[in-house]
Amino acid sequence: MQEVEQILSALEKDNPDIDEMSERVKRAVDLLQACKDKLYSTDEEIKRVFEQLNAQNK
Amino acid sequence: MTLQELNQLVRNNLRQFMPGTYWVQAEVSECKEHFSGHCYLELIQKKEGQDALCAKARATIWANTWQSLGPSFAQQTGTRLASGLQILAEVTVDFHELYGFSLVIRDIDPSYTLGNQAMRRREILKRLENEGVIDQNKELVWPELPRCLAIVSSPGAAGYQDFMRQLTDNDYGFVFHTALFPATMQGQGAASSIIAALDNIVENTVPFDVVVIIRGGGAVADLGCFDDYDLCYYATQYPIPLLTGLGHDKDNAILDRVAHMSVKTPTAAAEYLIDTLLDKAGELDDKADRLVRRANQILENEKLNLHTMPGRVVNRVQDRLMHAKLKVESAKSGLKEQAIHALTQGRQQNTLFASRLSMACRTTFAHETMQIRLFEQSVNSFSPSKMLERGFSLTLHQGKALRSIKEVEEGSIVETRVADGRFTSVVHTKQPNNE
Repeated sequence: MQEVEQILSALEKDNPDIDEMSERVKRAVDLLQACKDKLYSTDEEIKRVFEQLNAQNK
Repeated sequence: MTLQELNQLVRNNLRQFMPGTYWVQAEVSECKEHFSGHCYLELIQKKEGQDALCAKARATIWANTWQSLGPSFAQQTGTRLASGLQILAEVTVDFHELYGFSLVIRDIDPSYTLGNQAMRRREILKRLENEGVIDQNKELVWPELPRCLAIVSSPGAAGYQDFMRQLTDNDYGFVFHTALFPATMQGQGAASSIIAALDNIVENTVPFDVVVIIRGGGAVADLGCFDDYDLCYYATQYPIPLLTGLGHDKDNAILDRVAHMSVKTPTAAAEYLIDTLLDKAGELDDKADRLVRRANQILENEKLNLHTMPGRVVNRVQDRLMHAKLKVESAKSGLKEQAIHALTQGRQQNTLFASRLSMACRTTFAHETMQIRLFEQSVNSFSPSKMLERGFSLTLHQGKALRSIKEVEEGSIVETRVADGRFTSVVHTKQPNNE
């Protein structure tokens, strides 16, 4: 999240050339996607561990 | 007199001389509800400032009293009648031939217990404050995305079900991972049971973002355990942020005070977590928007640049051409001038050179002539006739000029030429120069 903000402020501050821009935008999009994944999708690994835990704690 | 008769006498006297009710302050040390519906207690009084007892009595609340007294006491004080509580009870004194001395409780004043509890709570809060730990759980960083949750609750509790339903059925599609760590959430042993569950959580290798402590559903409130000093101290030292939803609307429990965040109910706890993610989701959307807007802006600028590029290229080329032309022109005229200049100069130089050459030639010629003359003179002086005139003579043998004694033998006839004639002679002796 912090890195996204850094990239954003940098992009908004200076005028990067098109190649540099596309690289930075790509990185920001990746990061945003990773955050969204955390919000909306199930982490199978965690899910498995949690299921085990819940079975143990019963 | 029999023992029974004696006891009857005591009983009658008590009834006669202490017939009314008394309001008595005491601490509950035991409290058991019998299946018959009666409630049996033991009341004690400790010596001032000590743990030692100075008075003790059994007490009973009959089922018909307990039925209404129990719930109303719990509702008003936020805690069930239990050991450790200070109460103010209206009692009659009773004596039974078989069971002995006991008190019958007719009523309990909840405000006394409440005041006492509040005082105790204040004391505990002050103690935690003095120990400098009260805000330590609050000082932990609340996670950006709290989605791995450990839940401390009793599994069957309605509050837990509410919480889970609210969490999993959220309108936004957020995904949470939850693990339940069961604990007794009311009555005696609740505090230590919660501590055990919390212990269990940190001993786990799973990195939990938040621990949610929830309770609720039952009509009977028993929140005394959430004011327990040991539990609350433990909570302040807990390494994971705590979120409490203890399901009460009275004064906050001390556990609520020391937790990172506290809300009224389990449902509210779920909402709080969802809201945290909602905030993040909003922030993410915001950033995505900004990113898209800025990227488009940069692209737009670049497009504009491309658009005006051809015109700019032509201009630039024309500029260059003009410049080059000018350069060529100036070079041309410059070249002409230079050529003329060079020619004139060359011509002048030629003339100068020619005169210098002829002069040099003349000088050289004169010099050479002189040299030749001198040489002629010296050559002349070395001619054989001159040499002969100067007294040198020339000797020949068999027509060849003699240069060495080796060319003649003793007895050879040689011819010698001098300036004015020649003569012959016979070699008499030979002698090399060094001997």
